[in-house]
Amino acid sequence: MHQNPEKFEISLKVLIKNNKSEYLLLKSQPQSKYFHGKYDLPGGRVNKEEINADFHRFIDREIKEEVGNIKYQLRADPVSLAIYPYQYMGNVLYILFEAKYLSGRIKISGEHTQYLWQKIKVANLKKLFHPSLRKLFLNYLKWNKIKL
Amino acid sequence: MIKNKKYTPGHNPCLFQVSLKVLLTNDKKEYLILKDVSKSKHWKNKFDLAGGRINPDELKLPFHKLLNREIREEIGNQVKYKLRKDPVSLAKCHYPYEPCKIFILFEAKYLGGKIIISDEHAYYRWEKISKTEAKKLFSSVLYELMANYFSWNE
Repeated sequence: MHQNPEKFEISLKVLIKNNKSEYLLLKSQPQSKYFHGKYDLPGGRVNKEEINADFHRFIDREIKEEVGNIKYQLRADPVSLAIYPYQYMGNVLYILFEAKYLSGRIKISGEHTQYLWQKIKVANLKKLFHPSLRKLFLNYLKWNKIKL
Repeated sequence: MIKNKKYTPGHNPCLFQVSLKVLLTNDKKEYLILKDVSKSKHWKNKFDLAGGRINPDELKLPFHKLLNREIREEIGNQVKYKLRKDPVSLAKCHYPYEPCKIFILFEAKYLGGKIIISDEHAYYRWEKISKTEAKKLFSSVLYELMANYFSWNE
């Protein structure tokens, strides 16, 4: 039987790693509906007016907005995916990119309350992330054969 | 379209159909391409890659399971291949009178077995493809997917 294809919002995220193998995490606002108490990654959802935007430009802009004017090296191809069906918001497809932090002062936006360079262990994932980003991070580890 | 219209960022997300595609490569570095039978403007007389869209009952499946199902549907049960797990390219489009679409490309090595296509395609071909040839063979969005693949995975 033919089904109608599902529809998704697309969220592009970036995992920024420093030379101590720590990842840049952004603390979510306490009023954030799904992410309160958890950490977020820089990035955002693709809006209608951004449908033609280049993927790398989009990530560059999100980093500038949410992390400030830092220097980094972005890996060109995406490193992970995850689908999360939110109860009210609908389905979100997360697409993860990876970047190496080079230099520059981190200056977060009003969207987050603080930042953290964090060494991540699989046992900590539950505490750090909402299930959506946890799935994205686990696929990243598995698909890229990364040992923490 | 109204010029100078102000947008409030973050409040107007697009809803996308998500297509997973696979670039099957043989040991002669040729890619498997499928002739599209679609009569719609953007796809007519173009080639396609094996794959398909994510359906409502597939949200909880891991991506490689989803891809395996799509591959089986479009090129048969006998094909043997080795799938690389992380995605290698992306492209999105919004053609008039069609929903927003995003294409996610995976790479797989063809290991053997007979290719049996579905009635969604007219025939298949193994083809060496450069960026210039990709422009002629594919619709604009699949061309973007291939062009990004070439430049992102150099």
